[in-house]
Amino acid sequence: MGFFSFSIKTRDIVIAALCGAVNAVLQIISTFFTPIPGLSVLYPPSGFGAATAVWFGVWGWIGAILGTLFAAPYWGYSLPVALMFGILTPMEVLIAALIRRKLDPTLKNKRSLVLFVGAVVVLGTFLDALMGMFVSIYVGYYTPTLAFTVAIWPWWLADAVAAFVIGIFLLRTLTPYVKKIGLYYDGFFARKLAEK
Amino acid sequence: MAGRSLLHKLSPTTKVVFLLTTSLLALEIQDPKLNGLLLVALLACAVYLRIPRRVSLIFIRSGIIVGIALSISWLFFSQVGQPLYHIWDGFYIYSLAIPLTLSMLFRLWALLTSTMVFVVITQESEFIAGLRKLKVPYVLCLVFALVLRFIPLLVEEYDMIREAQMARALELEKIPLIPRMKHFMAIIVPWLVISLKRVATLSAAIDSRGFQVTGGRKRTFFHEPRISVADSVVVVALIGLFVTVVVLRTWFGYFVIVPGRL
Repeated sequence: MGFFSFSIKTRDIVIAALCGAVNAVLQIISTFFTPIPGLSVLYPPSGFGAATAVWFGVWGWIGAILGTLFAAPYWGYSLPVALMFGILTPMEVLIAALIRRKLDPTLKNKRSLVLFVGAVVVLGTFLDALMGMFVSIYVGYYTPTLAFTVAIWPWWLADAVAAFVIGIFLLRTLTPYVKKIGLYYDGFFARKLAEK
Repeated sequence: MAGRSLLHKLSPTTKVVFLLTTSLLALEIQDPKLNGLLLVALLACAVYLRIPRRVSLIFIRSGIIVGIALSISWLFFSQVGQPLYHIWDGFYIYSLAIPLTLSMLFRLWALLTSTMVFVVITQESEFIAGLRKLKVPYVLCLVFALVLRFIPLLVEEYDMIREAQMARALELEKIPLIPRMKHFMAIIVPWLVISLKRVATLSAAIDSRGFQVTGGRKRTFFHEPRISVADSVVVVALIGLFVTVVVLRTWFGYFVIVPGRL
């Protein structure tokens, strides 16, 4: 079986759709806290996405993309713009999906916590903000000067705070529950459901 | 004129093509006059549709908030052309900043209006049928359909849990921003637990109807969207207009005020 030749199950699709819907609702809630366009000072989808990527791997990341697509009208994005934001910005979610096997999902040990904070909360959310700036400049929402002097920092901070507070809290609180109901995925890039 | 207008009667495929081409046109054109023209055409569609107030308010709100910040960004931070107005020490408004600001503003509003028109004339099931007709894989269509089905359910459950927590004296609106995020967990955790429970039930329900993600027999549908002559004319006109704009911009430099920028 090749690296990408895993078979897709109905449950995978439902999980991706559910993550997408939850992400979309959280993004809609985030739009009520936007002092600068496309930028929320309270951004729970970042923390939720990081947690779902640790539980469900690639399906959590697909959920983050779907969430951005379906919340697009609330942010003032059109479909092509939402696609760009959806695919390029949830970097913390993608990184969480990639490093999930190296983590204890409850983040109870120090090594896992440091890895999660370093790779997802700091690096992932910075890449998210950086890609967000590139897309915003490309579609004309910000000038390069404003993007890289002003807008990038609150974007990064909002995502990082949410990934830190919400992500860690959800992983510590809900991982045992996710494992208990048999939804936790095992294997690199979530190839199969974990044994109960 | 809900459901009775000519735009409502178009095939779902045409509606998806309308959304894509008008959005891409707005992104392709940099000239404020032409982006303004596109905006006027889309606004005319919106006026013709008599869009309900509750829908239009969402888009007007986004348009105003994003528009103000976008104008500040482009007017004061675009250093293209000659310095025109002196603001303060070493800080100018440049000659091309004004047309660029107008262009970006019209572009944003055109994108919003196009999305608003699409949302009003297209039902969820039509959107899925349109994607299917455009040969988007059925698995993706199913995922989109599920997300659309989940969102109202989740919103309803979120409100229910929020109200239950309010009854327990949790009023998020009255809490400062950082502690608010901490208290937000009192809503989000039960909400997620209820949502996750749904996954097993729903996937079993889909499986019990013989659904196969890959392989299996060719799917047939009770309702197949039909493409009428009017649909063909609209699709050809929209795609023709888009291709013309791309060719004129790429090879002849039309619709551009600052070359090298989107």
